[in-house]
Amino acid sequence: MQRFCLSMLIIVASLQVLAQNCFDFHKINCCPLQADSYTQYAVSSNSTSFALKPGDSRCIVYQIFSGKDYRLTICSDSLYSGIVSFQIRDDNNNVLYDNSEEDFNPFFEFSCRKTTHVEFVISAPNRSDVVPETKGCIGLLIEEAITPRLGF
Amino acid sequence: MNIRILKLSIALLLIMPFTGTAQTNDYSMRKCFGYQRDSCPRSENVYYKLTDDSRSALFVKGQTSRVRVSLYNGRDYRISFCHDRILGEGIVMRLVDAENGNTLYDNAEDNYATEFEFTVTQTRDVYVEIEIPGSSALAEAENNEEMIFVRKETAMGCVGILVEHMITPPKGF
Repeated sequence: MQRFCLSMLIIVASLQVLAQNCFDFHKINCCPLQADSYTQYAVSSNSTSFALKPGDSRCIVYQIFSGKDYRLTICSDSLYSGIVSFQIRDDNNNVLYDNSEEDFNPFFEFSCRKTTHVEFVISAPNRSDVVPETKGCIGLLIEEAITPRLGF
Repeated sequence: MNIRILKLSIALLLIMPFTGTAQTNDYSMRKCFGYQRDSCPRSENVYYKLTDDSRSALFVKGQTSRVRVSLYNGRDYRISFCHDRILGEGIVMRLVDAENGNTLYDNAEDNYATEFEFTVTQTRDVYVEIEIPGSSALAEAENNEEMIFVRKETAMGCVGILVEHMITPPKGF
């Protein structure tokens, strides 16, 4: 019985270690640029972190709402050196934004004008100089705010 | 009696947190609210009084917005505006007749003056229109309903308009 408990403890502990590799990576590492003083952002619970192998992609479906501002921050560990591709696509797979056209800018802020589902596609760059099974942590910090009202 | 006071206290303690959540979360209003009062210089003529038509709002470059103001016969008015520097210079202020759309005053013909004083001889409503020069994605997106989102503008600033009035001083004997 004691051996069984000890074995279970070791298995659970090791699982915890694996799960914590990228756990909350975005909370610790994704530091957004300072916003204008008229927008008060709150971190969305849909912010996430995950492990990706070089060359792999992760697709996150997200609903954006009209009348809200969103600020996205991508962060990664040293394996990717901040060069992470980020795209926003609509339901028809049209690319609405691609940070590769902006030197892989890790920040993007926008005002939503139409409530809809979009896809955040995050792709890790290829690395031929690392062991194939190596994974690096990538975080996506999503912040939301009410769009400031403009005009009288 | 003591039990009544205790029940009342408990009831008040339960209600109080909800009064906090009733506050607006419209942060743009909080940031520009009162901007005209704090930043726009008043007339040196002490007889001018501020009207409730004075207000402030958040603007981006390329944006135009207007507010309706009632002008009354027998009164002098001073309408002025001030703005955050980030919006640049050459801000246009127009007075437009609310009935027929005629432009009664355009500061672009007055060296982009930031104030205008006049006497009203006929009660009417006018629009005080503010136009920020330049362009921005947000301002352009106003006319495009197909856009899902537009890149956020960082060049936003407050504009305040002051509407002051006084009874037209009598002239002559």
